[in-house]
Formats: sequence, structure tokens, C-alpha cells
Amino acid sequence: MYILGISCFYHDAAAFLIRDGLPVAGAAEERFTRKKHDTSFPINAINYCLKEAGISADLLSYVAFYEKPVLKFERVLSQHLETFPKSWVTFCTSIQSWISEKLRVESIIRKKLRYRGKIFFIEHHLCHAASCFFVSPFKRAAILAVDGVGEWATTSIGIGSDNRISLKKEIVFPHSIGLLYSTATAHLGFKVNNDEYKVMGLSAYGKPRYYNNFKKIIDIKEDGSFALDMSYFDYPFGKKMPGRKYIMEFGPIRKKGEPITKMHMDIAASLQKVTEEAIFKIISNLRKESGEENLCIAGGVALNSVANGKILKKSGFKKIFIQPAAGDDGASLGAAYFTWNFILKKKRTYVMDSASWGPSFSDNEIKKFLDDKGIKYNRYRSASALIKDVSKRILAGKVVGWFQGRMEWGPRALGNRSILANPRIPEMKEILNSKVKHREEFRPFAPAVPAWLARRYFECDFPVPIPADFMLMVYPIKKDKQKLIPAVTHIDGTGRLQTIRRFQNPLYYDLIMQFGRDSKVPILINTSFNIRGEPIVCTPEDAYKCMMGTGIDCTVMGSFFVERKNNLRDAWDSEGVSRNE
Amino acid sequence: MAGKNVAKRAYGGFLWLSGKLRDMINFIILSAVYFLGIGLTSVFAKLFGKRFLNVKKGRARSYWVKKPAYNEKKEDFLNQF
Repeated sequence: MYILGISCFYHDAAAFLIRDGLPVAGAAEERFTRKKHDTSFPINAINYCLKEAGISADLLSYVAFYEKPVLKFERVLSQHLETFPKSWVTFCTSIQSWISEKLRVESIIRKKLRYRGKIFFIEHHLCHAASCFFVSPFKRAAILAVDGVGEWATTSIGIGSDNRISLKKEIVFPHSIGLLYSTATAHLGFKVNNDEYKVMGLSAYGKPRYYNNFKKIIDIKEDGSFALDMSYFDYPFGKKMPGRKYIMEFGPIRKKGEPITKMHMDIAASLQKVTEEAIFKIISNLRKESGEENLCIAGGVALNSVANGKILKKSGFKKIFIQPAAGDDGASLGAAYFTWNFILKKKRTYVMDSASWGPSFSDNEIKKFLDDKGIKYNRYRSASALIKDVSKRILAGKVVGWFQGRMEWGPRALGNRSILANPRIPEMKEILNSKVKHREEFRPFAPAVPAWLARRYFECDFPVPIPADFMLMVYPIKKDKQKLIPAVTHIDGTGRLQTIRRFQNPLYYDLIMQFGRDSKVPILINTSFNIRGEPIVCTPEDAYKCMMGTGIDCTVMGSFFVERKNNLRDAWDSEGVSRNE
Repeated sequence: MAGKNVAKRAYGGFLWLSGKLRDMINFIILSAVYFLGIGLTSVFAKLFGKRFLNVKKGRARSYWVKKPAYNEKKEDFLNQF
């Protein structure tokens, strides 16, 4: 039985296909259209999923959509009714997409897929809850779903047990931690629904001097429930999220290109502190009320890896699980699994311990691409030759594009579509930020380390939680190790590590171990294979184009080695693209 | 060749103009819907004390809203509401 989950029309459109409760394929639409956070109907992602399964849409048993559109529309209308006449312009601009697509989801699905079967519409936070609990290793767990907003709910708590989920309580719109974070993101001059992680990275540079200012805006009760003072916000009726009072409290909105000052860093630090306070109170209360020892989190706020790394220490929970695509893209997986486990009452048979559910390319396909384009390349004779050579290059300070196997599910590159470099070289962070990624200098890079060696370098939870495999946990780097890996040590001495277990990705794991033998430190810099402002690469062509437009020295695609300096005729400058982001 | 270019440009201009006209008409119609539909409903509802969003921080001890138990019938998940 095939079930297809779909999310779209808000942000991060995606599709995920399961067969008899086991994943077949999943991907975000942005990877195919090359439009970051693409919201459009994920026809390319769906076609890829169907191709991977070798079926056509008429063989789907069910399609599941990640929200109830009419409930969401009720909330949107309520916003306009409440804020009349301030929402006039927003109404005229936003209502058209509701009429043309958002309220026509069913007919769009049927028309685009030529599908005649049943379509389930599942509440957004139920999809989030299902996306983390049903693929977790836990028989029972407490569940927290927290994001900007679904239909009405912005935060939901509940319990998962076997193939049942019960969400007990919720906080409803307009009170939202996710939207508070997005408002601050907009105020700090970053892109909403895109750059929240930059604010999180920036927070390490500041001091929470504005904590009390934020406490004026958000009232957090001891049981974790919270409410925002909406006089500070414009988001219920306007496109600009911070209101006049918010700007008076925190200063003018940082404009594009303006320097990031100490004040901006302090605001980010204060926001992070107040966000953590709210999350930890919710979770501690959830632990007390539920009596559960395991916790599953989902929703956009679950991508706040700084907070995630502190949860087990602060909450009393013993184990935690977060799915690699914790945001709205992952809700498509949740919709599919909710259908299988909850609606169809099937037993749970799968634990998500790998994120490799996207497209892959065989050596034959890669060779054909390289030959067709006249690209100069070499081919490794064996995996061990590849590993030894790449390790030596990284040790020598080269920046290596790593294109192997199936593309990752979720926003992080985890060793299949990655850029790898030497974390022992102090200047490597600046090199990667300026020459390769063209991004802000304050942003840190992630260390990738074998899971069994993580405790040697990081003050991490033990056993290392599965979410660390998906780069969703930030932990302090041990003081005596920070000098060994300066390029991945953030300003506050932490690192957003990716732990890796051999069964997940043998070649990548072996490369890190080989680098450990060569350098005495089994850690690599792992950053996503993309240019700032573009989605992570999907195909060999994307990877080659990315390498030729940046300072990546070489790329290993399957068993092929392509060097930038040998193909300079295809070189271009990606800096302009990233600047115009 | 030159004629083809002129025709292409004229067609592009026509598309641009029709797009602008469409946006303008949409804006006028939707504005009417907004002021007559949303506006009148909003004003009358507020006169009778109806609030559509809970925008005020209350003095409640907790802001949690108990979620009603949902129906677990398969058919209910076929609904978009």
C-alpha cells in the first residue's frame, strides 16, 4: 500500500512516499525548482517519489495533505475581521492565492496527479506530531509541536503511544513563539521563514541585555503557557511583522546591507534566552504532567539546535527524538505516517535513523553528465583509494565538494550533498564564508564526528541522541579540544555537531576516520553544498555549477573526481547571485 | 527580423498592460468585498462584543487551551475543516 504525503502553499513544499509503513522517498520541491523554500505544489518532488517507487499516481492508495485548508482560512478571515480596516491591503493581495489554489487543494491534487482515490486532510500540528513520534524509536513519548502557526494552533502538547497520538492542549494564534522569533528575524534585517537560524547563530555573539524588554512582550506562565502583547506586532494584519511599539522598544529595523552591531547581537541573544525559557518551561511541565521519559519535538522551532542541545539537561526527559525535516517539509512525512499508523491503525515498523531519502545518481549517470559536458575528470579505482586521496586533500587545506548517494531529507546536508574541509585550520571558517559560501562572517560551521567519538570532543548527552545525527543539537566543545578544531568552534565555545554512525553512510564515515588517522582529529567541517541563497544541490549538474561558481577546489561525485582548476572554462562568479539574495 | 522584434515587444507590452489591468480590477473588486463583507461584519460583531482573535494578555493562570478530543473516524479526515 502506497501513501503519499504532501505539504505546500505556505513554505517548504515537499512530498514523502511510504510503502506499507516504510519510507520510499522524500524531497522538498526547492531542490528541483532551485527556488529556495519553494511553496508551490510539489509536482517535481511527487514525480520523483513516484519514479523512485516505480509507480504512477493511480497506484497510490491514499494521498494525505498536511493541513485542513478551510480551518486555516477561518483563521485568516478572523484576522481580517479582528483587524479591520488595517488589513485592507493584505486582504487584497493575499486572498487571491486562497481563491486560486489554497482552497482548491483537492482539485489541484486530482488534476495534477490524475488521482481519483481518497485524500485525507490532517490538522497541521497532528502532522508535526506524527512526523516525530511515529518514526521515533519510542513506544510511548510526550510530544511537543511548536512553530509559527498551523490552522489555529501555534504550540501543541500531547502524548504518543503505539500507533495513537493525542494532543491535549494548545496555544492558539496570534500567540506564537515561532512568530515572535520571525518578528525579531525581520527586525534584525533577515528574511522571515528563511534566516531564523542566522539569528540563532548571531545570538552567541551578544549578551541578553534586552531580556527584560522581551519579557514586557511575552508573558510566560510557570506551566509553560505564554501570551504575546499584540500591541507590539503587526503580523495579524500586515506584511511587516514588527509593530511601531516593537520598533520603539528595540530600535529601527536593520536595513539590507547595514552593518550588524553589538545591539543587534544583544537583541538576538535576548530573543534566544526568552525563547529557551518558554520552551524549557513547556517541556518541564510536559514532563511533570505526562510522566513520560521520552520526548518528541517537531515544528519549525524544533530546528533551534541551540535550545535542543540543552533540553535533556534542563527538562528531566531521558531521551529525545527530532526528525531531520522538523519544519513544514517534514509535515508531509507526518501526513503519510498519520494515515498509515493512526487512520489505518497499522503497527509501527520503522525508526528514522537516516535522512537519505532523496534522489541519487549512479556512476553511469554521473559519467554521462561529465562526458556530455566535456568536463575533465578522473575516476577512483576503489573506495579506499577515494577515501585516502580525499582525506589528504582536505588535510592540505583543500575545500572538497562531496556528492554521494541519496540527497538528504530535511534542511541539513549530512554527508551526501556536503562541502567538506579541515576544521584544524584556523582560517578555514573565513575561507569558507568568504570564498565559498559568500555568507556573513558570524555564521559558524558544523563539525562532523563519529558518534562513538563525540564525547571525546563535546560535552554532549550520553548516549548521543539520534537528532545529533541530523545536526539538530548544539553542544559545548570541551575546553581542551577547542584549540584543536578552531574552524568549527563558535564564539561561545559550542558546535552544532553532526554525529555519524557507519551504517548510515559508510563512505562518509570511513572518510572521517581516515582523516582522523591522517590528522589525529576525526572531525571534518561539514557544510551544505550550495551557494548562499540557493537550495542545496540535487543533481551532478547543480554540484558542478556550484563548484565552478565558488572557491570549492574539487568535487567527488560517486567515484569521479572533478577539479576546478582543470575546468576553468566553466568558471563563473557566484558572488553576485549570493549578494542579490 | 525587425518586424518580428517589434511584434514581440508589442506582445510583451500587451501582456504587461493586461497584467496591470487584471491586478487593478482584482484590487477594486476585493476592496469592495473587504469593506462591504469583512468591514460590515467586523463593525457589527464588535458592536455586540464579539472578538475574532484573543489579542490581549489576560490575567488567566494559564494560557493553555484544552483541545477537544477529535473524532477518530476515517471519514472525518476526508473533510477540509
